[in-house]
Formats: sequence, C-alpha cells, structure tokens
Amino acid sequence: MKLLIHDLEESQAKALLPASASTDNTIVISDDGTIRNCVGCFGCWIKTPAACVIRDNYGDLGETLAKCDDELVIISECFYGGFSPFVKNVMDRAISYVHPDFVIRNKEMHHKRRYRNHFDLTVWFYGADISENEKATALELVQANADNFDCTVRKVGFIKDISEIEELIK
Amino acid sequence: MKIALINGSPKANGSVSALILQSLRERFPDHQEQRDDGACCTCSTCGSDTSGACGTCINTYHFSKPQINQQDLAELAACDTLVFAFPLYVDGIPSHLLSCLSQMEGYLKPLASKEMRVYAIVNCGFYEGRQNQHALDMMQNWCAKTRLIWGHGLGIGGAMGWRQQIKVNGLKVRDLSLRK
Repeated sequence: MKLLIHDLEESQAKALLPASASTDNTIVISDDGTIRNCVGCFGCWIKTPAACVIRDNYGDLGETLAKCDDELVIISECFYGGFSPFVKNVMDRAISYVHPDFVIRNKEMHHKRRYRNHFDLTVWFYGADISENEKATALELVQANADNFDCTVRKVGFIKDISEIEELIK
Repeated sequence: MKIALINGSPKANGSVSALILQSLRERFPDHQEQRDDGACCTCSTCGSDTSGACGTCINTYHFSKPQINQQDLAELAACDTLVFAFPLYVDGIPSHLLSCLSQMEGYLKPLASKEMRVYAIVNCGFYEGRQNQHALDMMQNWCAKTRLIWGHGLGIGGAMGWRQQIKVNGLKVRDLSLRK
C-alpha cells in the first residue's frame, strides 16, 4: 500500500495528480479544511494507544501510516525549510505511528517501532523562492524524519512551480 | 526596549516551554508586564517620577492556536526582541506555531525600518539537545524570510523529566525553576 500526503487544493490535485493516486493501492491524505492541531496531550501514546483523542477526520493517522508498506510520498509547499502547516499537522497528529518508549538508534535516542511495516520516503517541496539555506534544512529534516520513522529516504526534490509535479508523480 | 516572550506550546498549562520562559522572566524582576491599555507599567526601573522613561517592558504571549489576533500582532510588531520557546514536534516546529509564524511573516515583512532580534529555545524529550537543530534552523530561515535579525538558538534535551516533575509532584510551573 502506498500513501500520499499533500497540501494541494482539490482542483489542483485533480489536475496534477495521476488517476493512480486514488486507486485502492494508494491512500491519499489531503486538506479537507477540518484538521485540528495536536495539543500535546500524549493521549495517542498513553490513554488510547495508536488513536488520537481528537476524533476529527484525522484521528487515526498513526494506523494509516502503518498500512504503508511501499512508499510514502509527501508533496508540500516549503515553509522555512520544512513542511507546510497542513502537512506538518498531519505529521504531528501521526506520532502514534511510533511507540512512546525510546530506543538508541545510530547512537541517538529515537522512539521504538510500534508496527512492523517499512516504507520508503519521497518528499517533493514546492515554492517559488526556496532559498539554499531552506533546501539544506529540508534535506536534513527529511533524513531526521526518516530516522525517527525508521524508514528510508528514497528522494527529496525541490520544484518552483507545483505544475511540475505532474511529470514527476506518475 | 520591548521584549516579547512567546510560549509556542499548545498546552494550556504545565508546559516545559512555559517553565523555561518563566525562568527567563524571573531574571528581569524589575521589568513588569505592560498594561493592557498599552500604557507604561510604571515599574521601578526608571523611578516612579519618570514612569515610561526607560521604555522597557517584557510581555508574555501564548500561541496555543494556529491564529494570532490583530492586537497581539500589532504589539509584537512594536517589539525589539522576540524570544520563542516551544516543544519539538516531529523534528520541527509544531504546526499551529508554524501557522502563527506564517501570519507574522505576512504582517511584519512589509514594515519598514524595523530592527527586531529573534531568539528561540526549543525543548525535546530526547536526551540530545542537538535534535532540536532542524527546528532552530527553520526559525533562522523564518527570520531571513521575514527580514528579522536572528539572535541565537538553544536546544534543550531531556525535557520530559521536567514534565514528570510537574505531574508526579503536583507542582505548578511557578514552583519550579531551571536550576531544580
């Protein structure tokens, strides 16, 4: 199962993303305008493991990530060398994908795995004026995300215009 | 000088970010919060007869939602120094705070002749404070985009220990300091 997380508007997504992006083999997480932000309660780790206590349309993102055993593709506008607020919100609400206990991995503290699936991570950042410093930050950020998700970075790319994504996602 | 201490934790109470800022705040006991009406707080810094002469005020803000109200934006725009304290979320800035920063960028960038310096203190549950590096880099990148001056950044690890102290011992943030 593939997973696609993007911050495109519905009309953009329809125009730019291939039809295969919404088949049975791919789960798509997009902005329906209702997502609420993580409140840092750790309920998804302690009170209701793997489920966020906020029961909106984004309450089971950790479990959704666990279904991904192929590739996680993220398409995000670049904000200061990181993800856009929506994509970051999805990431923040998905921390139950990992276990609250810690493990030392590559001589650094990270979270234990909760699930056995493994996926590769591909990220496309878009934006008209992404600076070199922002690109450097973004490259390091995605690697850090991969370290914490215990996954592998397949590709990190930067595009100036979102219309370029049509050629890159097939 | 006007200084804003900005708590970027979404938690209403008991956050490590609040603890850090309170500890920082206590190091400037002579400077009080500015009054709600924007007038001088008449603290003791410049003497009761010349209230307002020093012009130094330290105000505290709490960004717990993804929007900043217009009054807070206007107050922040008048500051000389911004000090952010927030928790590390998935190697970066919490999404609600990211929205606030984007809003601030839009508000502050067009303002001419401002010399605002920005500091950031990021805390995480991992032992290694260096895991906050990417969030600090993003704050520095935000400064560049918003045309503000980047001061310094500090990454603090092991922050969960402080939270446990607050929770287990029933302490409130005001009862603790960074030295304990």
